[in-house]
Amino acid sequence: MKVSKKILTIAAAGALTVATALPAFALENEFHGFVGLRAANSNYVTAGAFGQIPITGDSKTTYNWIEQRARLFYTAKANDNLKLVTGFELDSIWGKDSYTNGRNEGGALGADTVNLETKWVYLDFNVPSTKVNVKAGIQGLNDAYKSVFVGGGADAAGVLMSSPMGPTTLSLGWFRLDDRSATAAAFNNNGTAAGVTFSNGKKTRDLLLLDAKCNATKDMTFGASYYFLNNDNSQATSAQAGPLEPNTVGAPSDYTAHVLGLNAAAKLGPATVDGFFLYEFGTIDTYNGNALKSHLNSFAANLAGKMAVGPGTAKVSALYVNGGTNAFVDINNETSAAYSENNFGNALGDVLLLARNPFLTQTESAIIYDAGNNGMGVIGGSVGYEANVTSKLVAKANAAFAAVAKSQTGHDSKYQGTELNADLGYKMYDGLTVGVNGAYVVLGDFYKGLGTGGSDPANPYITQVYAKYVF
Amino acid sequence: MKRILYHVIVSATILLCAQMSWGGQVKTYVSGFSVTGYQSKDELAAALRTLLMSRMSGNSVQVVDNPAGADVTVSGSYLVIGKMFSLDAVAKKASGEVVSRAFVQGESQDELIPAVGKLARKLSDDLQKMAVAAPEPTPAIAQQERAPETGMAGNEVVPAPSGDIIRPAVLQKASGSGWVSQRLEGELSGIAIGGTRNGERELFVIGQQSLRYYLQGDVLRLVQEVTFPPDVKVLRVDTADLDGDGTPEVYLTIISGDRLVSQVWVPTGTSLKKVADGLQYFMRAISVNGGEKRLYAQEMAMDGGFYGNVSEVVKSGDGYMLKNPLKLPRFGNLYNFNTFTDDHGKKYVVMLNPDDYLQVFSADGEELWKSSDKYGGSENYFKRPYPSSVSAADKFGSIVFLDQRITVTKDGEIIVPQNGGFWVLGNSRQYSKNSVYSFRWNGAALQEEWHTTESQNYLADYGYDASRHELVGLEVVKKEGLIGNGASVVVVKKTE
Repeated sequence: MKVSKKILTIAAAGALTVATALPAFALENEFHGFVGLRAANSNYVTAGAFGQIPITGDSKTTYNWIEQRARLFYTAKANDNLKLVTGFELDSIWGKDSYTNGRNEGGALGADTVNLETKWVYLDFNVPSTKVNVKAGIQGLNDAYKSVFVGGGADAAGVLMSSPMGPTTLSLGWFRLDDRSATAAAFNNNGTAAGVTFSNGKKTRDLLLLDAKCNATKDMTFGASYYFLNNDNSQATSAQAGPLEPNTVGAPSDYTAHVLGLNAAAKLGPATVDGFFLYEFGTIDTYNGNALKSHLNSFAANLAGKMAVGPGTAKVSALYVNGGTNAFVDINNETSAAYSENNFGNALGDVLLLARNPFLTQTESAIIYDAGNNGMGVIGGSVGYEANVTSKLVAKANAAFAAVAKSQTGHDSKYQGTELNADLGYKMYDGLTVGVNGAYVVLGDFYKGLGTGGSDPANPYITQVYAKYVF
Repeated sequence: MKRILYHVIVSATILLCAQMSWGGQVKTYVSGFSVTGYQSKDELAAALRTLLMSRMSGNSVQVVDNPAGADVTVSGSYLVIGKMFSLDAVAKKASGEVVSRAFVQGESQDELIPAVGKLARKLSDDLQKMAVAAPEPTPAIAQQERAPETGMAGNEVVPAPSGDIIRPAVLQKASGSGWVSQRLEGELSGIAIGGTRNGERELFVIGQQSLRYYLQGDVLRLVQEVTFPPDVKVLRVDTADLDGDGTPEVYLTIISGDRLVSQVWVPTGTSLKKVADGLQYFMRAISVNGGEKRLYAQEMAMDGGFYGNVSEVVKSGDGYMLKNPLKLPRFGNLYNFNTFTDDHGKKYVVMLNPDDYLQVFSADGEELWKSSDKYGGSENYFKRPYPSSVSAADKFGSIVFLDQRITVTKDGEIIVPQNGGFWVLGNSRQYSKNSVYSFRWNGAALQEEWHTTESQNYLADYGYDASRHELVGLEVVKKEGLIGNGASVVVVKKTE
């Protein structure tokens, strides 16, 4: 005991000495965060649901739920050249689970749940005597193409280096998306026995990114990219509940995808326009566990514009993503859950049901859940108008449509539906916005006869009351 | 038995005399605290000294106001690293001999006052031991010598500051030298000083969607108010006489959506007249190097950030053109810098960095000095199209705060405000007090010349009237709420 006390005393004295000897190493603490609350009513979307909305029934039932999300970001800044960035998330659905630990829980009576999720932990530093910035660790991953390939909330472990060169910024990144060490216990379809373990570092999925963005003038930017996605994940995991949809690539596949992209944005008179084109090529060696050796040859494109009209801004957007036998390869979560990691809604416009909407917290289902539209592709577009009614009240209204890019067997039409939505947001305080919105989708003939007993399914709707605080 | 009784009485007498030789107490002078890692250094140092003095006073310790009469001098330091703090103190005799060292650590500001109490107890215990262990000789003489000093303690004269030691009281600008306007409706965000009309000073004040033209005499008189539609935000107001007619024009930096649509207005004495519209520039009037006030501008990039160089704006016919681009250090933009020259004509850039620390750079961009405290502090911001690296729901990366003005006077004073407050977290800023500081470059660092008395309001903006040596500040006395529009005042403080 005496020895322990002595050691403690010495340790305390040492710590104090170090602390007082390093006053210049005082950390700058920076906090940011987001808190979102929403109460929703819908006839298809249900609390905590994610993935593609299964529009197959009459769905005359209304579901209501309330959910909340807090994101807390803490940055410990040692100096202008070095910082540690962390991000955490706490989600709950009101009335769902208490005294049990896990993500999205703790909303039931009693609360008391360990439900802290880690989103980001990375070092952000500048290489001495250069203009190179390095971000290394688990961080936000975003493409330069409105998240059609990957991004909009995707987090991944990797290294991203960037450096300005005159008006151009070059970025080079490498991310390890998966590194699997076992096949699923229950599901396996490529001949490998279930539950087999194998070495780390073999069954991996890696992404290489090379981006260049040039501010040609103050009113024009353009960029070019090369992305390389290499998937050696030829084994299925329990995340795959069954075989993949036709024309999609997933965890049981072994493939390489090379992605070439061009993007540009410009202010042309009173209008601002932007767009991109992505071309994919590569080889799909195995598909769904079976040798295939087919070539990938696909593309996606987007064009959007906005312009001040009257007291507000008019917006228009169009999106095409290839589907069918040359379906566009995007990045989804293949080993842990069936989450889309390409929140492409921005490319389609302001929509609430056709694609994942910006108000979503942990409930993340949509008619089109990933940019590839489950291998069917997307033809979509929207028009919208947004205006400040007062300096604190903003009103928005949008109309959007979507169709699959390639005809599908068992469907009368490619047309999936037309969405009408409106939103009224009031800035109560700086950072705090409360509002109400709603959306209604008139389903197209793609869903004709797919309801109960061959009837047409009910048109989906959602209404939401929300509060968002960003600091 | 008698012998024993004799010894007891003699021992008791000696012990009593020994105790009385200190008057039962050690005269202790608390010289002060050094503060590291905390914003309001002077204020906290003074508070810590007062707290320690009151807590050390007791049976064994008599705290005195004058170091000359003290047996022991106590000095301390307060250090904050992260959220941890350490209070350290040392007590020394006049000979320099250390009689006590003590420290107390804590993990939050809530523990600070109790920590001072603990520190005082530790020091007092040691001083009491010292008093018992080493009584001073010749108590009667010592008491006689000290008596007059003790008698003077109540109205002693504080020595005039000399050398490196300057008391905060000398630094502060008297609050009585100022002028405060009537309460102005609205949480206003910017102010600029114009010319003079019939002895009254022109002031231009902006809110988010308004420009007010005031004349300041004995009272602040509203001449005209211009309002703007809800889809625009007036970011800054500046004045400069670009056309050389003797009447400074009013330059408004205005943003609408993702575009700048800045305007120029001319005051006539009875109204305001718009002379230019839709200018796609951020604008700011600066007296670079303390010289003549000129207008500078910077463009906006596609992503809403600052684009290109900061350049001087000159009148060219009916239009404007940019010339004389300035090269600024990393993080430099139109709103966070100024320049000055030293006695040898060497040029420097003084700048507020993104964390609000004051920095001085050489002309070739080398960082020469960085402040320990934060300065500036602004709630005035605009939103730019959020960068793609942040998910749509968060958007916190889209806020750009416009920094407080750094003024350089003709004689080389560098004036910068300091807003402080209880709630500055990420982009949610609620400043609640301010003080304005003046510095001078001493060749190696910025040295404080003076600061104004602390005001319990957020300073939204200020201007320096060089002709009158006055600071003209715009303070928010009530923040905008769900129902009320808030309120502001114009405050004028003499600097000489």
